[in-house]
Amino acid sequence: MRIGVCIKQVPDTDTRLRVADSGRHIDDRDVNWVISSCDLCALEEALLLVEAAHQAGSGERPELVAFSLGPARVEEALRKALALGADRAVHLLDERFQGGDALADGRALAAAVGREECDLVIAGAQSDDLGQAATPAVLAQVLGRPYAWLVMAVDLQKESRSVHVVRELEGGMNEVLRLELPAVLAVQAGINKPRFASLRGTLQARRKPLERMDCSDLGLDPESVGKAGAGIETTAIRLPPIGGGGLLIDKASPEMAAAELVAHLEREALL
Amino acid sequence: MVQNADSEAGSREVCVCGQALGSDLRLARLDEELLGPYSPGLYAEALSALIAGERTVERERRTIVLLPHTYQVAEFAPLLAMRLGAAYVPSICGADREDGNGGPRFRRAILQAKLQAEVRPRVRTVVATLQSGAFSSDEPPAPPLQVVDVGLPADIEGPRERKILDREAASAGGVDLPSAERIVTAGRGVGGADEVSVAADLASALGAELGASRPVVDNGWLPREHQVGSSGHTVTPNLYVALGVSGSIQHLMGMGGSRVIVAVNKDREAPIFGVAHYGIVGDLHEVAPALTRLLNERSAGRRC
Ligand SMILES: Cc1cc2nc3c(=O)[nH]c(=O)nc-3n(C[C@H](O)[C@H](O)[C@H](O)COP(=O)(O)OP(=O)(O)OC[C@H]3O[C@@H](n4cnc5c(N)ncnc54)[C@H](O)[C@@H]3O)c2cc1C
Ligand SMILES: Nc1ncnc2c1ncn2[C@@H]1O[C@H](COP(=O)(O)O)[C@@H](O)[C@H]1O
Repeated sequence: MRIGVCIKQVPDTDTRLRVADSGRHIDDRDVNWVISSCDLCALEEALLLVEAAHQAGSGERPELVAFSLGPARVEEALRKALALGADRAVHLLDERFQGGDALADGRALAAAVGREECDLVIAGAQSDDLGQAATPAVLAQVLGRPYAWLVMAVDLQKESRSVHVVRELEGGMNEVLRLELPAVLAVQAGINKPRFASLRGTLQARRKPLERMDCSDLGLDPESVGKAGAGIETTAIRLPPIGGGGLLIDKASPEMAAAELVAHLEREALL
Repeated sequence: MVQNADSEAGSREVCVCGQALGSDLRLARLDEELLGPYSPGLYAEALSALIAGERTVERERRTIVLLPHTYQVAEFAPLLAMRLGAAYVPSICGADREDGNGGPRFRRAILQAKLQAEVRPRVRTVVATLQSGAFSSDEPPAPPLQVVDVGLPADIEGPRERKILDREAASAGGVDLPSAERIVTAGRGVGGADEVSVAADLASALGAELGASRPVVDNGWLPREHQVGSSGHTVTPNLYVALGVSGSIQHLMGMGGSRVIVAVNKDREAPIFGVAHYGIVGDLHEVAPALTRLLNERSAGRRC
């Protein structure tokens, strides 16, 4: 049994972001790059499944492979995944992968996942940067596998080669689903609490295999990936328009700000 | 088709957006009962057959498929886009019609709503989903909608590898947020389980209930029943105080209808200031205790 995890490297949510001179990209000079938050949960969920299968003493321990598509810096995210417990890493690295959307990146990831013959793929529900909530669905569709989005619990049913999952619905409801393996799951933040890497794990990660793959390794038509294969093109990025027209209190001291707010709330008859 | 959500509001927003794009509107209605239990594969297959049928009639025209961005739609819409060979533009908050310069433009939030991207489809068929609330649906669309009931396209089977086993309530209540008159919400900016007390102290000084953003709950700083937002409670208090909340769309969906919104955030560009009636730029660990002190002094003064 092999479990694949898709991780994306994104700017840390606390990074102050600036638009680059091109007007189409972010200025990445001072950006701190991290693994997208849902993807840490995806990795944690895969680790929990591997550990549970191992403890059940059911023979072989599932193998865990981490996949990431992105430029050279992404190797750091993959090393982190290895430090956390992944067995191997696959880096989809090719200039021609640049500028893709969910369709292009999902296609490329599907080729890598298909090549590694993963029985279960776990990805994040939504990336912290592009937030398309679509890349794992594309991956599933390309490979013709069943898919569930917004997964909040995973239970592997090894004997019946299936997986039971809890999927979040709107309005405080959940749905319990059964998916046949091989399947693709996109997990929601909060499904678990991701662990921290140990020093031992970090040292071991350096010796674990990390393989790089480009378009030709994956048998991909360069026209189907990256900018060329994307359905959309970004023409500009900018700060969002400030709406509302509320009152911004920007006082030298917290006490003065508090006093001003209380005065306003009194006037609104809220206190 | 839109589960558990206000499907009428969703379709009104779709009409408003469709008009912004300058298209003729015709609503094709497919009875959910005909389709059987939802699965993303089944819905993508059925809708793509319907839309492909429409397209053979109007071969040369640009086709834009608009859907509300609900949890269900977000799951199957990428599959639909792929079946149609379409571009996929998820959760748009704005759209501009064709400008003779390469087709329509769509706007969507990226990087946790810190920035906005303008995107252009590279193919003639587009599947786009609408961020909830982005297209004001207060006014009904101008021309009366032509509604056509359509049947199930032939040969729709849907994949069999996914089955619904059960439905259950996500979490038991306990905190009565929806009927609270005042709410103080702790966002991720409070910084940790031990720091939630800054929000709790202000809440008790105000006689308010304690709310939480999703990461606060995901991290285990507060139980799930405190969560406000699209996957938590929808609240409409008279006073909503957000401490260290950035103002993501999913959070705004839960509290945007509050009468007076106060936000405390150290980042003056935080999107929450876009909806706040009163915003304080500053460190919540200084501002919230100062507010708590002032409010407590005030009520002590009143008691004497
Ligand atoms: C399908 C789906 C459903 C979701 N449902 C919900 C939901 O129901 N509810 C919900 O809340 N989210 C929901 N989310 C998550 C949502 O997208 C955001 O990730 C989340 O709302 C962010 O929470 P936050 O504002 O607390 O944290 P962040 O976005 O991390 O913001 C923290 C803020 O605190 C500020 N800050 C930090 N330190 C300080 C300080 N010392 N003083 C003052 N300010 C400070 C920062 O400037 C920042 O603006 C959902 C996401 C998905 C994909
Ligand atoms: N470049 C990438 N490399 C690896 N995984 C990715 C990549 N892009 C998206 N994913 C996966 O797909 C999920 C959803 O991303 P998105 O569709 O952009 O919201 C992410 O949380 C990842 O698990």
